[in-house]
Amino acid sequence: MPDQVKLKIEDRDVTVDKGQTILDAALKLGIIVPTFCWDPRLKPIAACRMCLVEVEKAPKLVPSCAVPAIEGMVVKVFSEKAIRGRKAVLEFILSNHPLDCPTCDKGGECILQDHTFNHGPTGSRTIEPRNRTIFDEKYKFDDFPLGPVIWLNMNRCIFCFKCTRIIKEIAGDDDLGAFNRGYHTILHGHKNRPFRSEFSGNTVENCPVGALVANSFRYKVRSWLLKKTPSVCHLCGDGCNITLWHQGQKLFRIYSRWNRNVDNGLLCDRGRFGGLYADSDRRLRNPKIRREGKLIDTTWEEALDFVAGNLESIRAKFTAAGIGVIGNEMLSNEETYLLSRIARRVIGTNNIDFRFEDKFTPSTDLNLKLLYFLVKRIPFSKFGEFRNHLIIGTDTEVTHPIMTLWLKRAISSGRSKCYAAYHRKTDFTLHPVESIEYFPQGEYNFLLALYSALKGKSIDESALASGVASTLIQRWAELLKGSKTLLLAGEALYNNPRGSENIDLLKAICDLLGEGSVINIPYDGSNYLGNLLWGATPGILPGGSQNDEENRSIICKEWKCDNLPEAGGMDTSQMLTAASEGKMGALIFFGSDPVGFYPDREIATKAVQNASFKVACETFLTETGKLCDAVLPLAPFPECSGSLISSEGRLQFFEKAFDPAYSSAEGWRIILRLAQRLGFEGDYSSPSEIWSEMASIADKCGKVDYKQSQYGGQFLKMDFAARAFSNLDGFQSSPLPSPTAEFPMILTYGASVYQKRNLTAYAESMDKIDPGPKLYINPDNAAKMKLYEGDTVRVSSTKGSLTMKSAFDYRIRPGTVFIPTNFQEAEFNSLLSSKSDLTFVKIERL
Amino acid sequence: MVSFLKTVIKAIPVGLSVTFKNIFRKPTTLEYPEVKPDLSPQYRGLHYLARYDNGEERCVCCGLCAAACPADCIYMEPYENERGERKARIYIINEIRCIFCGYCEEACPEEAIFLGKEFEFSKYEIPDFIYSKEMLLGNFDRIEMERRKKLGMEFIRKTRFDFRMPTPSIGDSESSIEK
Repeated sequence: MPDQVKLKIEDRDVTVDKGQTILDAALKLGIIVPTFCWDPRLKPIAACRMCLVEVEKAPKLVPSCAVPAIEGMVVKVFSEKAIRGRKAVLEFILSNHPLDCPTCDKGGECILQDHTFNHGPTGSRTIEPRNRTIFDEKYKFDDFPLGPVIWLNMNRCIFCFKCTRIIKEIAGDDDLGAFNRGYHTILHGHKNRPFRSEFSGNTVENCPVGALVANSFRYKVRSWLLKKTPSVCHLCGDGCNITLWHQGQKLFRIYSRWNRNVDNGLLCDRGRFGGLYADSDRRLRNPKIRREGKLIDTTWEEALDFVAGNLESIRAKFTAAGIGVIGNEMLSNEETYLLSRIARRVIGTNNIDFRFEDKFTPSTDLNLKLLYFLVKRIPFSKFGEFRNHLIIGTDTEVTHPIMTLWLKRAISSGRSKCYAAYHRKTDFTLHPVESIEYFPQGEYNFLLALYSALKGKSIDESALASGVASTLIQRWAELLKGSKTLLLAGEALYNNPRGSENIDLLKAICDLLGEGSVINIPYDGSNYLGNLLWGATPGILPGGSQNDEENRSIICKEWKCDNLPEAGGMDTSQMLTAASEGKMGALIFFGSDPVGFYPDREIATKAVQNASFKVACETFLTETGKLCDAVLPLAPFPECSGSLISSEGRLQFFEKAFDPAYSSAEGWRIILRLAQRLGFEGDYSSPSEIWSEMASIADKCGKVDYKQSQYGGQFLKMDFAARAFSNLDGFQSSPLPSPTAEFPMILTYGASVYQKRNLTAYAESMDKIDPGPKLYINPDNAAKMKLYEGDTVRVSSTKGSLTMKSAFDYRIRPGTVFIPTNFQEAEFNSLLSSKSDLTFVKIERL
Repeated sequence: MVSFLKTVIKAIPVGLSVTFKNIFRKPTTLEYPEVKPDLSPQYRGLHYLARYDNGEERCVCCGLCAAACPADCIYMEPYENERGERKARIYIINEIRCIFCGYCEEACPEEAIFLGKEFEFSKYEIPDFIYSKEMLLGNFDRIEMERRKKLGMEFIRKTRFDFRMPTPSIGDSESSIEK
């Protein structure tokens, strides 16, 4: 075969593809060659020389990780010369390595320790003092905070450059560099700035020695004392596989668990460091109920009796339709299913929703349309097969950091091109990506313009309305036409007053592009898809079928009941609006915080205040919880087990690392105990029992194939009926309201890249990585207002005003300002109104 | 009967000869607690945590003693002190669980933990046997003071560890090498 080469390693024949290295061939035979700098995800640089092997007829030992295998090569890994060579390399590396293993946090899991033990010299031949790189005279040891979350000890570095290569080749950033040469090499962020990257934690995990240590793990515990539990990250929709390292009831760190279909051993800082919020000591410790206007600690029995008794009396007074349940998208499938069951079967209401961060959430019809796209979705690992990627209406780096890495990988392979359209530039668009910035809420006009351009119609009007030059859209249309394209539709498309039209347009655009073009919906939220499929919306029943007569009878048979409530429940916006008018009896918040995050603080606060009875079940006491009559402590993800369906459509199970700390309880247990007090006869002892019941329902519904699910990590087969997409002839561009003289700026808001709602802010090192709320403004606008970075500004809209510090961000579209939503103390939503689509603000310097 | 008597008459002086041999020997029984035993140099008694000359504790909380301990009686938690050094915030030895094997002493890379000669630490309550870091450092201070008093060297700075490891001064001796 011409594409394969045959070589001999340790007298054994092996055949590998042309271009593969000697190391690959050795690994194929199961021969382990020691390495430091080699990583299958990175290009070989042969920096450490640890993998030296002897090749016949070669004058010197060769680094096996970088030398390609050649036909007829004879390689000796364990010859005396090779062993002696590797020993000399180790002696050379160790000649300046400090012997501070007792204080080094890598001690016990250090690759240098292992290699020295297995291959290294038995003693040192030098008596000279070891080289020292002093950063600061103040510290006795030369540890130095390299960035907000990482400490560097340059003495321990063995110059394998894995860290800089991970940041450069995988994350695609230039945030970390190696300066100077030889023993004077220093790792640092560019221009003496601290090292910041969304993927900085991967450098720590992959450092073979203790040179890079995470702030949150430094001087905490020895690694051999920790137990490891496999889990799945809950902080975004990617579903990255993680390992929880814990001792007793304390979570110490989160590492990646290699899954080559999902994360390739990579993890973003939000998941790695933000996930440690579960370990915060500011968690809710006891159930609380309101007595004489104050929330006081109580026991579980008393609290559940209190909640159940009140719900009973509310149901008698208001009927079941007066009770609303608002969950959140981080709940596992089992919890969602139980919540749906208690709402529909036990309480008897269809008012259930799990989205509370957007006012224009998709209707049932739109949800079913979106679910139809899941039938033909693409796993991350196949992104590279597409010629073009068109990303509209999302900042993928924030919502799906690891999916972005797959996109970057597709770009850097040279086969694919990316086109990103959003209302501002994003970190991702700093890469070789074509980017368009339209007006905030200009998705509809932009899609219409792109559709018209692909059709060859005039686009001037719609392009003007979307705020993009028409030539740019024409250019995109020409580039995209006829090519196999993956369309990634972000949350701004469907969480939109014109959501349904947007999706119709997107479908039409997809049909106009080349053969094999597919629409993917990367839902924002770890279990958004699971919540949809397991009935956490009014219009969709557990199992993923529409809430109609026929499907209700299927569920009734499974639940052994006569009837379920008729279709037509309220979603979060409707529930909150009704409750603010005093029409709702009780509101149950399950991990949700509408007061903190619903984009109209006034309505959300009024709703919670005006409801006769409200109960919150949450990990930390939120703004909503402070107004509630009862607060139940919910255990965070390391203390629960269950399953998640990632936005990719992959079902993954996670295990609980330890029992819930303090007196918090798992979500499913709280729901079950509450349901039993309200007259539910069933009982479950573990989430797997709930899952077996769910699987039989799913089988009857036939929408999603969960058959092989027990093995986990399964890319689900889905079968949703096609929906009718409307005719696009009548679609007209609709100019957006323009800012007034009084309020000249458009307010945009969204999650910060390091944070998930307010949860991650409770993690130890996250306050350093992303300190406090800021108003981000384009420098051009700031210059006109004579505003400097760090100035205190007052932002006011018709609804209210806020005072915060300003920060420059040139990625923001001129004429708009951006506030991250993650800081509860900022109260960003007090500026917003649920009545208008866009919020206009004015900025004053104080 | 006669043979029996013969045996007895023979046996009595043989037996008594042992008695008379030992009657003039120095007795091995000690009048404890008035008289203290002379312990073997390998004797392993109550633990202590050693200090540097300047009074700083040697332990860096690396956890190797706890890893080596077969009885699992050592628990520790590190912290970072104001000079950026790793030190023990909590260091606990459960002496009632300890089997005094001395593995901790052998594992210690910093020459910080030792098993002393002290064996008189019986107590009435089990929780009293849980020795904190302060108690273990106090053990060292007591032993060190006694030793110095015995040698009449209260004012001599040198400790017996000096020949093994140079004492770092607070101003950092190694930085002078760099210059």
